[in-house]
Amino acid sequence: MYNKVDETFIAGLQAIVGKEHVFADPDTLDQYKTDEETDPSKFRTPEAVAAPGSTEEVAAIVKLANEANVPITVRSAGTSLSDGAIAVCGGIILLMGRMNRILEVNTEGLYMVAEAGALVKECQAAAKEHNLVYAGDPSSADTCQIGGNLATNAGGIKAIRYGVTRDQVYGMEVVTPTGEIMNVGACLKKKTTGYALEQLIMGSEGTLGIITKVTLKLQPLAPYRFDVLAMFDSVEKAARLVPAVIKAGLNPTSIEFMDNSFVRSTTTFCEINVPHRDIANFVYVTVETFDENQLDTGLEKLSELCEEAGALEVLEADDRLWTLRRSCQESLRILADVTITDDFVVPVHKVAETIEHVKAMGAHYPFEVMVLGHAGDGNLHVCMCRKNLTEEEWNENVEKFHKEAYPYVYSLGGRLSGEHGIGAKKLHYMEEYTEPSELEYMRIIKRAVDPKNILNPGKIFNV
Amino acid sequence: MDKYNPVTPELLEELAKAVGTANVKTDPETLDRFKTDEETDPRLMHLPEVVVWVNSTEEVAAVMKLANKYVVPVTPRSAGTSVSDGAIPVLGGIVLNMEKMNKIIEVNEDAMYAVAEAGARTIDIQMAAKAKGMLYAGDPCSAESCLIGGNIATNAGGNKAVRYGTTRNQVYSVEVVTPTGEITTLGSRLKKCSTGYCLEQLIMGSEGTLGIICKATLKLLPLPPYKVDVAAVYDDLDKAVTLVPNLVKAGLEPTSVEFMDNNFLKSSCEYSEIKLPHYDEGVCYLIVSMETFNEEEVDAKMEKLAEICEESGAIDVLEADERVWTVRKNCLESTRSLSKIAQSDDLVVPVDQIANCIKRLTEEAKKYDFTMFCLAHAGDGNLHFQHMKGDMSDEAWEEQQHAFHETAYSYVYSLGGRISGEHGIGAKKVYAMEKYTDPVELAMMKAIKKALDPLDILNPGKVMNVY
Repeated sequence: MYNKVDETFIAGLQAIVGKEHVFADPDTLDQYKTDEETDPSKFRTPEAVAAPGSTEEVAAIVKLANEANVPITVRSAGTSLSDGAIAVCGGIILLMGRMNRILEVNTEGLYMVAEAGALVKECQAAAKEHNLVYAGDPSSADTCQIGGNLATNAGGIKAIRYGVTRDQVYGMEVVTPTGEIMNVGACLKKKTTGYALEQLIMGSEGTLGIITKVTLKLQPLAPYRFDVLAMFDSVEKAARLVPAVIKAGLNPTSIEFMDNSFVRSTTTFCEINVPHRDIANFVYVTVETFDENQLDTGLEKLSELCEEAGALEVLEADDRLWTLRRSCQESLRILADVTITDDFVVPVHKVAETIEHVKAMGAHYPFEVMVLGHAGDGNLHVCMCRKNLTEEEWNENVEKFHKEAYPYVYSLGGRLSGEHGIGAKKLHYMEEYTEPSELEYMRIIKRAVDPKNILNPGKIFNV
Repeated sequence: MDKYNPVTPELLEELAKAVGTANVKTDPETLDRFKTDEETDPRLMHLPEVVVWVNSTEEVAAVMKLANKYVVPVTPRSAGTSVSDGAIPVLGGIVLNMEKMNKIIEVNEDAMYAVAEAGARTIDIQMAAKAKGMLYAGDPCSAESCLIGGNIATNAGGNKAVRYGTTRNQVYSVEVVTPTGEITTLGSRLKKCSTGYCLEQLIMGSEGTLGIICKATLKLLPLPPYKVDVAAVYDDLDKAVTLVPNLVKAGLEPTSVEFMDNNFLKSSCEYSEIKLPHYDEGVCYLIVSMETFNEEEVDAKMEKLAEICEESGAIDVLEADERVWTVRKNCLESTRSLSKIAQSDDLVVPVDQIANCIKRLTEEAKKYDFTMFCLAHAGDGNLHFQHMKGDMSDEAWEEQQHAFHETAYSYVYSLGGRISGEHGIGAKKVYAMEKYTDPVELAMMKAIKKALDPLDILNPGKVMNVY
């Protein structure tokens, strides 16, 4: 259905971005066959890789790809856990990393303009320099790029208070699937001037347009904060703290949950000692305020709640303890070569029962079902490690687990993915569990906007 | 337009079968009632061929299927409070009246949401939430009469958008009938979601062109028990508007910041027979509301606010009591006696450009014969200019309005603004929408509309010209 990348096409790419930014050598191609995917059966080597330096170059490449009928997979930092950056239909990979400038930080208008390849970490730092906050903060903030965050509507650890990435964005410059450049959204607090295309494109995982430049909202940095880590000897007790904190009106910035299997894996991985290591389940709570008095009353209230919930111990969560939370995903590497991370999201008031249910369900599988989560916003990451299972056993049990877990999540009003996206990895589940009329609506839009299915084919759903 | 068929007896019969004879009306009086919304200019009104009342989502779907089968346009209508000709059936056909689908189905305290049919009044939803100690934060100025479905379709703004955002921020999910008559639910009751396209956000604000909203699940928030209202009086616009960014930066989280220019202040004070301090001294008013969850915070915030007002050069700071609010609420009423025909603008600019924009356009308006007053949701950059025709001739009025808007819209776009902050484009601003929107963006909107509504059945002639 697509054409192969040939010499003429490569020459076309070179003419657009310069020879030094087009790669077709086996070593480079091999580097881009996967993202965070660990299962080799999911890898796919692209036919060429191009690194544009400007929006105009991106647009020219998309036009060329439409003419030659070659698919494009856009890649930010390649931190996708859903095979979102794998070129599953072949064709070319478009690397956004060269377009990495922060163009403006406007302290009066409270916004920032950055190219899509800018590191999220650097956007955060640039805001902080001016005593402002860019509130998007996915766990991979140190390595991921802002364009990828928008494309997947990344979540992270501050979403309870500030919302997800789509809430942090005023507008963006986009190259359409047919290679036109447009600006959608605006630096405005409200707008009813036509369709909210910026909201449609965010979260569409690079299938409806390539984000090339973004205008981000900035907020005043709350000067006071406290971070608490409460340890519990059971999942139930830990899980029950979550709704208690939400209802107390503390307006927390984060409520993070880590079960004991993650406590063990991260303390080993980071070589950090903590009390109750072998039995503790962790709940982190962060509260930020603009007023010092509020800090004291908040901290007092929270200590009370932890005690009522039956905490073993309550510590101040310093950088060292937060490192454990941030290292969860990486710590899986010491457990197994092949791992899988789910990204369930359920209504917030169902989060405690979901954690308990999933842990109980996991006991019947030949792998440990590890759970961590942005508990305050209902988003749970459920991880499984292949260890010494055969490929067949692994696939069979993962599939069985999903067949049990996904209907449960949907029965609660939940969805497959809270922040990682569907990518190629969850496509067949997406097609299975999404309401057919809704799926058809999505397909109609995709076909209308990308008639040749050039942009990121094989992701989210089959067109 | 000959692409549509006239409403035939055959279609009427099928409509009656779908929704009941009593809910299909073609008598001249009924048709006449639905030829306009808040539009006051008779030349912009248009009669429907039939008005249909629906009682369920299934009936809406059935009507849409019939409309597609007979190729007759459908204009959904909520309370008809549009000031953009959004509810006028500009191409004839069917007006689909949503007012009977007015049930509030559920108010859930534990999970903090409400489910309502599209025809439920916004104020009833606000009251139902309040009765259980919660807040539905959508609050357009027309809340007492408007319906929630219309709020969602136009992404209505209103008084509390500074703190809580606009209607699109208050909605978890919507049950929708697509332009081809399918029923689907978009969105979910989740704090975050990356599971496919965010269609609920696409539908919201599409002014009934991409789907008919039949039911909505709305977010509820804890109701802050304490409230502070302060009016700051300024003799200098520049100083007045610096208040806004300073409030935000101080973390005061105002719920609303409302601006009244001296024209409105004077006319409304006189109309209301309330002499607010300094009202005849050429001043403007900024009314700031803040809400808090604890009493100590009220005092602390009040103090901080007074400090900031003084620093920014307010000549007076008063408690915004009932009198101040009455004057604010009577602003538009007070101009009715000045002119029967008026036109309201709904410009929106970046918050740091408010002063520039008000000054520049107020100056520009002096070149014309109409009078222009300004009210603004200053905290979110949304400026309502009220133009009054007075005794101008139709011709001069039209010509001068056009000339003014050419200048005003270009200027607003040059600031990064847009022509509508909360009222929508409707039929009234299609011309400007087509002229000022990024052509690639407009092309994508049209591609989406055409794909979802191939026969252009749903609310044609609104937002943009598809064909």
